[in-house]
Parts: sequence; structure tokens; C-alpha cells
Amino acid sequence: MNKLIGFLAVILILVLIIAIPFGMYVSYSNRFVRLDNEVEAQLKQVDNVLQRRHDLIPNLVNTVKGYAKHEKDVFTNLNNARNQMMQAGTVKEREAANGQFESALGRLLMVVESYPQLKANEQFNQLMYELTGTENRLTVERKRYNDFVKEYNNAISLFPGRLFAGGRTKKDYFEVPQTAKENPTVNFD
Amino acid sequence: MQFIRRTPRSALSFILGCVLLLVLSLTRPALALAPFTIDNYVTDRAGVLSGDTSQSLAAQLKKYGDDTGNQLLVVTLPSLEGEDLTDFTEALFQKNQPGERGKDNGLILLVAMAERKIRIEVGYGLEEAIPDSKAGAIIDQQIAPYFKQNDYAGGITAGVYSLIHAISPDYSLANWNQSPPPGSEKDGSFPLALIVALMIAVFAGIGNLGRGAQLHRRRFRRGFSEPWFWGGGGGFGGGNSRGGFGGGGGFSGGGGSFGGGGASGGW
Repeated sequence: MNKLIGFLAVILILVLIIAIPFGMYVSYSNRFVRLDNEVEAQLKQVDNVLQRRHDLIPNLVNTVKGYAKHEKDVFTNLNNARNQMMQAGTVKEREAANGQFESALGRLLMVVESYPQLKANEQFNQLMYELTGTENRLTVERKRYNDFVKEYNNAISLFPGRLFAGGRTKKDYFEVPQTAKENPTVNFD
Repeated sequence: MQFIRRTPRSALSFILGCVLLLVLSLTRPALALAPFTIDNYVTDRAGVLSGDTSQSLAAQLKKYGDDTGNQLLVVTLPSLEGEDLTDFTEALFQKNQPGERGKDNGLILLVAMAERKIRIEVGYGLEEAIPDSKAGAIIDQQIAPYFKQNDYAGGITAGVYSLIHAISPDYSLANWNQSPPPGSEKDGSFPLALIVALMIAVFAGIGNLGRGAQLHRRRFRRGFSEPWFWGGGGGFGGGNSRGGFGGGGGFSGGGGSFGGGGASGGW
């Protein structure tokens, strides 16, 4: 009788030793996968905005060209940056391409400043609203992306999640390039 | 004996002092402008709308929200207190979440008086109906012309109607104000249309004259089932107080989200 109780106790302890870590492992890896998916989905959302901006640029360039034909360098720069943006694979590449793109766009907007007739063009004004809106969308979606990345990075690097993280590595933030912050903004007044 | 009695009193004042310090330190962050909870379709913190305008606008927006699910909020502020226009509007959107979850059909029209700035923040679901250029055009062509003449009620009403018209072109607004904003040219065909309409009405009236009161009563009843309180007139304003939920514009967010769409402008 005593032997049976001892036997059952040993089994119970073994089960606890195996079951508790296993349960933790399952719940943590599910959490990592969920966060991973959220980061990925949010990156798609960022890409949507980038695509939207990509589609907007030819219209903008064409409208500006009508008034400022000889500013060829500015258009070429912007087109190159636009193409590079679409080829960027990793987040860090996107970040770099985005920095280049925004400084090329900044130069275009600077050129625009010296063509007052352009600001009276209704199509140009509409495009500027779309562009400003797209830049703002990018800010919003990028911030959300960074928030998800932070949550993911915290989850895999804080104890006890760290024990179950396995080969998972921290994800890159999509940071705002320094040049973009200094871009001139178009004034509608 | 005297000494013993003094000790608890000094301890008490020490505790009171601590509590006072704690309360002071807790109330300090309230000085900055924080995104607040919105409980009405029209939140006129700047006090630029009359009570009647505010109430009838809120009632119309609530009716529109109940009919279509689209939640459009109007907020006026005396000042942004140093906050960024876009950031603050988005924080306000985040906190109150106008629009239905999944449909994301909410919108905020925010006016900051001191900064003379306007922002329309558009939820994901309304971006197609109100692209940024449309939001910008509504600010520049509908709202700003009124604001320049210090007619804030006129500008906000024109803005709201244009937004509703852009989202639901077929939605009938009872007192939809057709008059163009100040500064834009008048529509020459209007008097002619009015005359034609009057003539049709007169002839139709003559034709119906013989049919008597039966038809008249039926027509009256049907008229009543339409949004009768939109008129903003006598029946509605009566028993309600002006503050808080009085206007029937009670709002609670439905969980809508946004992606930074919309436009900013000024006057």
C-alpha cells in the first residue's frame, strides 16, 4: 500500500516537472508567433503606404514638370530614389531608401517654392494634400510598426520568455532618417 | 505629559503634509492638454457655436450615425496649448475611437481657435469616400471662407454637410444649406429652378384640390415620420438643458481606427 502511494507520488512529481515547462513553452512560443505575425502584418501596412506614395510621385513630377522643365536633376534624383525604395528588402534597407527618397522629395518641394504659379494650380494642390496625407500615414503606420517590434523584442529578451525564445532574434525598428526631419514643408497660405 | 500629547499632533500634521504633497504632485500633469473622453457628437470647448446650433448639429450627426453607422465628431478647442495639431487629433481619435470596429467609419473635425487651424482626421473606412485632397478642399473651400468672416457656426455646418455629402451622396439632409460659401460665385440657374418648382407645385396643388382632406392628412403623417427634429425649430429645443447630453447628441465610440488619413489647414 505504502509502495503504491510512493509510486504515484513519483509519477505526479515527474508529470509536474515535465508538464509545467512544456505548458510554458507552448504558451510562450504561441505568443512569439502571434507577435511575429503582428509585426509582419504591420510591415505590410507600412508597405501599403510606401506603395501609395510610389504611385503618387509620377503625377506630382508631371505636374511640376509643366512649370519647371529645366530642373531635370531633381526629377531624376527623385525617380531613382523611388525605384530604390521599391527594391528595398529588409527593414534597414527600407529605412535607408526612405531617407534618400525623402531628401529627394524635399529638394523637389524646395524647387516648387520658386514657382508661385504652381501653387495656384489646383491639381498640384490636390497632389500636395495627398502627399502630405501619405507622409502622415507613413508616420502613423511606422509608429505602430515600431510599437509591435518593441513588444516582440521585449517578449523574447525579458525573463522568463528569454528561456523559450530559441533562435529568435530582435527585429529592426523602422527609424525616421535625420534628413527627413529637416525637410521643408509646403506652406499653403 | 505635555510632550507626549504633542507628538501625535506633529505626526498628524506630517502625514497631512505628505498627503497634500502627493495630491499636488498628482494634479500637476493635468495642466497640459490631454486627449479627453468625448461624450457628444459636438464638443464645443471653444464656445464658438450657439447652444441651438450645437444642439441641432449634434442631433443631426447622431441621427446620421444611427442611420449609417458613420460617426462624425466635431471638436472645437480654444487652444492646442502647444500640442501638435495632427498628433493631438490622432490622440483624440485613438482615445475615443469613432466608427464601428472593423468598418472604421469614424471621422473627427477639429478646430483650434488660437492657432487658427483645422484638421479633418479620416478613419480607414472613410478614406475612399474622403481622400486627403477632398478633405483639404472641404477645409479650404467650405470651412475657411466662413471662418475668415468670423462665422464659425456657418463654417462648421458647411464642413459637416460637405463631409456627409461626400460619404453618402444620397443621404437626405432635411435642412441642407445649398447656399455657396462666401466668396464663391453665385449659381445663376437657381432662381429659374425655383420658379419652375413653384409652378409645378402650384399646378400640382390645383390638380389635387378636389380630392379633399383625406390625402392631405396622409401626407401630413408621412411628413412627420421623416426626421422631424432636424428643423432645429420649436419642438426640439423645448425641454432640454444645453449642457452635456441635452442635445441628444450622446456619443460613445464604436472602436474605429485610423491610419493618418485626412488633411490640415487654416484660415
